[in-house]
Amino acid sequence: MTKSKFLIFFILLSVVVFSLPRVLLHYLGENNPWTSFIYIYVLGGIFFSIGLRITLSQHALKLNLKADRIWFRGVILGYIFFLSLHGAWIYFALHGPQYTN
Amino acid sequence: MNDVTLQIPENSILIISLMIGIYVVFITLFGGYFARFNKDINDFFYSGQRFSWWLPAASMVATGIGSYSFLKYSEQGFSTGMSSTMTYLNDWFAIPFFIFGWLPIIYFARIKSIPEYFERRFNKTARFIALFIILFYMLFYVGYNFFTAGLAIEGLFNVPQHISVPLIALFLGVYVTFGGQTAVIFTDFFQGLMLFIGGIVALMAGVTALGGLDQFWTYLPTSHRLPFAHLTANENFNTAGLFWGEALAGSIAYAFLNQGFIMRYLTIKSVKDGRKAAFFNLIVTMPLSAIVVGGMGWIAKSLVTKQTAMGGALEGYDFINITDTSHTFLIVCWVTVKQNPWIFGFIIASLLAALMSTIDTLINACAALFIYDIYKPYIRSDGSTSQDLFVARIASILATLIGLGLVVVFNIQKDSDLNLMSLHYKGIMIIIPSIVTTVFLGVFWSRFHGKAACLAMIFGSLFTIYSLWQPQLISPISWFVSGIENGQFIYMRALFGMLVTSAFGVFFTYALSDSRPREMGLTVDTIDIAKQNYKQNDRINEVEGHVVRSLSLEIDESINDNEILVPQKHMDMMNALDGDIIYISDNRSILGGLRAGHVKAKGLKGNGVNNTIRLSSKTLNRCYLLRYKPVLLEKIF
Repeated sequence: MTKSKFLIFFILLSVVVFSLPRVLLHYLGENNPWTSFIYIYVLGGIFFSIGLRITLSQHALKLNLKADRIWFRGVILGYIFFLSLHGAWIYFALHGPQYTN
Repeated sequence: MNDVTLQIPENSILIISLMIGIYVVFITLFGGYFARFNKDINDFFYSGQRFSWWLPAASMVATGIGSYSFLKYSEQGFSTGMSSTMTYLNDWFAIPFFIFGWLPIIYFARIKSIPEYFERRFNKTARFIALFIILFYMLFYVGYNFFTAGLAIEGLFNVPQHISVPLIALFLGVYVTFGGQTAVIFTDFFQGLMLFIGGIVALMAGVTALGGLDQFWTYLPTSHRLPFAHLTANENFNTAGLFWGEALAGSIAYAFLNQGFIMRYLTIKSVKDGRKAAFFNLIVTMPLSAIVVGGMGWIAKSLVTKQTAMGGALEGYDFINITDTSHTFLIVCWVTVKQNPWIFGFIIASLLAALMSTIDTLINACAALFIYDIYKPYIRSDGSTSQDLFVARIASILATLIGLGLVVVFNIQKDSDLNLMSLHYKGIMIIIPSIVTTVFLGVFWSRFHGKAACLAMIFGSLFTIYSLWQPQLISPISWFVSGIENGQFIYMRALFGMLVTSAFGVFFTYALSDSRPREMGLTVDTIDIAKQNYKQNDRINEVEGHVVRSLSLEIDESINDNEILVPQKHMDMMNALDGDIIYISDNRSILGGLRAGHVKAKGLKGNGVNNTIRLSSKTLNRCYLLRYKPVLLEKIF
């Protein structure tokens, strides 16, 4: 990655990190459980994608190898697994039977 | 925080103590048995890179769950609910960096300790700084485990910590000191099962007391059902802080710098199996662990809510009154098992299993750091095997003693208003940021050099410590990421430390020059070179092959040590070529690689040798193989 590309990426990243929580707080509110969910999975997803991008571009992960393709799919499916798990969890937490006094 | 809430009758104490005693003696003997598998310090610390993925993976469960986990997460689960699982379920974001970057580097570069990486990647000064920080990090965990174990025993039996903690340390010292890493792995495998069973028994008793899972869920307040904490509301436990401090800095520290975990990965036979272990750990054992350690806290909250709704104790159970939240696990267990000392004793033994299995790894890891980073390079590089092993054992004892000393510090800190979780992370978030950032830049930025690394670690650490007295330094960063803004920056301190270290690292990389020649194979862009160095051959054969099983052995002393002759048809099945690295193991997969090793293969053409491997008796012994037991072969690369 050239210096100018890195600089553009860094500025864009800063913009997302700064504005995402503010947008979430504005539209969803700070007490909405989906605020934390989106905060974590968008920012965490960016970090996760950077990891994949670096290892791919540096040839630590080679998609021309069958074994590496399987691992590549595995880590993406893992991300989707945790995202789905937490999403379903919040849904059932909000919509399950509840004792009220 | 010191009030003792449990009132256990004397005869019950006797039974519980008996069960604990039996367990401790059993595990000490069990661990001691494996001392015979230590021929040298490589075996003592790394078990010779020979295990299948599932054995270290299963033993990592026990390593990850300490005695503190049951107490800390139950307390957190009681106060904030299922968001106590956050620290166990947020590690996936770092996995590409670990399994595609760091794991192959440390494996193929044969890194014995993390400070060794710092010397080879940067310079000797970097190694010293890293050693200091990592030892502090590991010993912090040793002390914290002893402290929480003492806290539990104080709550149970009213035995003061200055009596209970040294006694625990004495028993632990015996099997770690004499058994080494093989003992640690096998005892941890057993103790992992033990603590899971104990934890699940406790959860089942709790759910039964509530009247079933539906009752548990119904009486659990919505705020306690959610998997994430509020973004900023709780200064001790909030999503923004946990993400930057724990999910990023904490996960990298655990995966990249925890010498105990790294040593587990280095016992595994191949990088492929290491990746399998990492997947299994994150997808299966971490979620299960989160439930086992935090579940009693959730049950406690549901029970208390139901008690309030019913206007008193639940039918058949004592009234639950949690005045000291750090004892949530113990109080709820004791009540929900209906004061049955046998079941309670079993659960407490599992708590002890958690303690022993974590501390043994940490002590073994601290000893490894001492041997490979202090003793071998600076004191005596030419010591005999028996001398090295003796010093390794002395180092294990020293690490135990220092951990004991730290218990005093934790007791002083405990008197503040921090709960166990905050107390833990307050310390960790000061120690890790500078070294996490440095190792990360070292692996993924090849231009980053030694001078910059040293200065970045020093300035990063100093600024992070300085922020304890000047917390307003963290405010702008916390504001930028919409974190907490009241001056209580338990987790945001890690983000501050990482940013400061990065800034110094980048600045000094460009401002200073470093003429030291760069060793290949230690950065993500040179992993292929690391593979070639590992194999001592430029040709890397990464074509997938089959595992060949049920082969017999024939001794041939004319064959070089570390080499085997394999019938050509089996070489073809494995897609192996002459000189490829082959994993040879006892055919019984239940051994998990206890009798196994790496060798170089050579094809054997001709008839009459179809299912027989030829090797020297030295190779046979080095791999702990049995002459008349069949073996399997697997090509590594």
